[in-house]
Amino acid sequence: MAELGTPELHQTTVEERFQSLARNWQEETAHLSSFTKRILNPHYQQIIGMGPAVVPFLLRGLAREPKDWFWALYSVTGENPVAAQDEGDIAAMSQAWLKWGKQRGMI
Amino acid sequence: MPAELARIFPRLESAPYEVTSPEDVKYNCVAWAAGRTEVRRRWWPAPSPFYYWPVEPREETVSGFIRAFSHLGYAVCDTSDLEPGYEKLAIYADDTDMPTHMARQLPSGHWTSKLGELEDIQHLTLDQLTGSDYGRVVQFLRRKIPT
Repeated sequence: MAELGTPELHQTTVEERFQSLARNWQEETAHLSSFTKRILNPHYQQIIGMGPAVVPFLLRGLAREPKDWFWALYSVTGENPVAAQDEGDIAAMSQAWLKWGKQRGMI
Repeated sequence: MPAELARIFPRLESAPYEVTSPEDVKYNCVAWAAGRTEVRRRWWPAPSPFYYWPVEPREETVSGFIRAFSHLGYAVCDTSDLEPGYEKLAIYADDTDMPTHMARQLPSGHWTSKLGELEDIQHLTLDQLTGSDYGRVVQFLRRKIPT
């Protein structure tokens, strides 16, 4: 059993928190098209606030299904591997970020 | 998921509507308003490359949307009335003039809307989607249907 402060427990806590926030964000914004309203949702902002620890979970989420995690990834990492010609193309954007994550051993 | 849609849009069931597609994250309401062929990418005047937008600068205002759609041949018009030979769009906005949604008129006079990353629906009136999230309809656009 993991003790408080161990890496295993920390990892579980980060993942559970991310999954909970992601679920709430999805419920509150899935019907919205507005980029601004989607990313300013408090749950999305809390995901960004989790910092670098959340990046592997965002990438794993993209690997499962395309989702609007691109602004969060950009905000946390300061990087943007998506080519200009792929703007708005969620499948191509997902692939660009997954390639980025694999190159860094994050997924 | 009609029950879920009715919860999100309390006025939806005030008139007939029909779900016409499965959920799809690849395109949003503005892409769908721009045309049936624009279902590969999401449109919004957000920073590139997060969303596609057909013009620069990208302005998240009703006038910015009018300017973007003028590049697709649309001009402002006064009513949502069905006019033979024209295709019409409606822009919804919130109280701060920030656009929230677009709907496209069908030849039948009904409207088609993509609800974020949820389904497409056909709805009889524009009022069915008004409320706290989409606000109200603030502008109509029209263009001649190519012959």
